[in-house]
Amino acid sequence: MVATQPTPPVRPERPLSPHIDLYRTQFTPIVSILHRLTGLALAGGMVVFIAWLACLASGPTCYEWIMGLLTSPVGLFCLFGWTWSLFYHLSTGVRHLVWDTGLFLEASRVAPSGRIVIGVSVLLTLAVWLKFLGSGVCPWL
Amino acid sequence: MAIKSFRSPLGRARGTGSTGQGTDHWWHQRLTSLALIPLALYLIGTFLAYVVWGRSYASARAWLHSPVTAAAVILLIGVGFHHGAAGLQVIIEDYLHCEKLKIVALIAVKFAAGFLALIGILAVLKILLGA
Repeated sequence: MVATQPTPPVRPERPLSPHIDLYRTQFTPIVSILHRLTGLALAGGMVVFIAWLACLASGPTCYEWIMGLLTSPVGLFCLFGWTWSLFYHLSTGVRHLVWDTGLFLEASRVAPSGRIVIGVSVLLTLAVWLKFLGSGVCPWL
Repeated sequence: MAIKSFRSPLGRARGTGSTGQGTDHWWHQRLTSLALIPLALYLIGTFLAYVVWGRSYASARAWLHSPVTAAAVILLIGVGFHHGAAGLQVIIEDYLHCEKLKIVALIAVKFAAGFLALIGILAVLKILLGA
């Protein structure tokens, strides 16, 4: 006796649930994902900060070497990225702490507060770096 | 008798949930983030704006010769790595689904954070004490 497989019933054509491939990218999850990514970047920045401290403690040769790396174009680009990451992670972190108190959790207020933290992080980063560029310590810029 | 809850009376009294740690991890992440607000702004204000950019070896050492600066930097290192390790733990637990790899990554993050924090604190102490 051969067991016959039951034929599956013909299913009517129905729309599939939204898949990630065809899901419109939305603003609020981007703000959230960037909080994680900047946190990850800052963990890397901490390693560099420790390396700088260790070089400062070990002597002028090591210090000159790491300052050369940090003030090279790539190094300055990374420092700029870490500055923004810190201000962004700090701003969204404060937003999280405010949420923990139960305030600003309404759906209508989540996107506006997201725009505010992005604006604040960009402004603070520019303020710090414009002050740096204005100080003339980096002649080739 | 109808079952009102699947949790044992002892488990309910302890209030620590399935992990056995309650809200400790969540609470420490909040507590360290609060402490890091002034500490991180201080770091940006000094390390980045006054030390790294074009300042000499001698002035950078002089910066850390002050007990106030040294205390702030040591606090920043301790609290910062605590916060960073807690954050990386959440990321690992969310995205690493291979159990063995997850455990190895969690241990590696904890060990690396402890080792790097100790290097940083010893470097600050060495400069502060003028060794």
